[in-house]
Amino acid sequence: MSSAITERIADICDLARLNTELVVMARRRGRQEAEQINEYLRSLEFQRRAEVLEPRVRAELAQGRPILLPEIADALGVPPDIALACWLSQFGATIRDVVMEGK
Amino acid sequence: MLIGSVPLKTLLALTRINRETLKSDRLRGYSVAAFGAARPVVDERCLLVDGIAMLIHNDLSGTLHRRAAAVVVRGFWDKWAEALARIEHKNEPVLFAIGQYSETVWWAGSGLARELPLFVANQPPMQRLLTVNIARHKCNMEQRAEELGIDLSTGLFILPPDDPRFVSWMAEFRRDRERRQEMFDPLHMKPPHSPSARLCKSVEEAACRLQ
Repeated sequence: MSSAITERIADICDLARLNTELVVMARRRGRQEAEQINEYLRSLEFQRRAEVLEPRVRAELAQGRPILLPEIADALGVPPDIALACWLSQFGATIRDVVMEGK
Repeated sequence: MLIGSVPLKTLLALTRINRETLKSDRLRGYSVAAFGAARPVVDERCLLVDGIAMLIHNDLSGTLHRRAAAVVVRGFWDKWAEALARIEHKNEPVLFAIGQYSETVWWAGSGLARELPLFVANQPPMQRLLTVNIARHKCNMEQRAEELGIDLSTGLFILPPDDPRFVSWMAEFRRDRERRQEMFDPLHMKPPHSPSARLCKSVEEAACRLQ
């Protein structure tokens, strides 16, 4: 098998790993923590941080550059799975647009 | 086609594993190879699949202690070998994963990558989940071989999953593991027995030297 085929398989596996990692994060979360996050998502502080980040994220998506999810999550003050599901997704970002580690 | 084998020096170049790291692993009893062994089972040669074992070991060592990572690689050789065989011969995106539910309860397995998120979603929350992208390791070895001018096309990483020899090797390994343990704990589990002479001979017959 050529390395090109193996590379395609490896890319599919990387995507599934990332997806799984986000599922694991969500599964570990207790009800209390989920409620705290919900409350924070409605706060002015979250809105302020989101407004600062939005232009950068839109620009990165428009250029097709992968978004470093932990960095965005940190800037927003939420876990990475929440950052993707509750904020990045509104700009059309999917799991294919994000990475957990910079290259 | 037979399983490809190369000298140790070449395998280290293909995996970019440092000789000193390997030496240290061997001294400490943390070294790994295919067939649940600590060292390559074919005398004076390394199978390409031994390189995959070393890379999985390195990968897991990022999170687990190097000893525990070695125990996983050796103790669950059948699981990751199956993943490798399906990647190589069926072009299936298969991941190898180990998970920890509690201090003493772990699981290890391999399966289609796209099914893993749903599987995890339906399980009790896990303290740890480690996944290994074996295809990535294989791809990296293939790309390094190209760079180094090593032709891997005449040898396999592993036999097809339905090859009778592969099936018999896995069956022998699983029988041995089932005899030794019922619960998996990488911090306390003993490594597998050395492969039998019959198995080593069978592997030797299924391997070829690569130029």
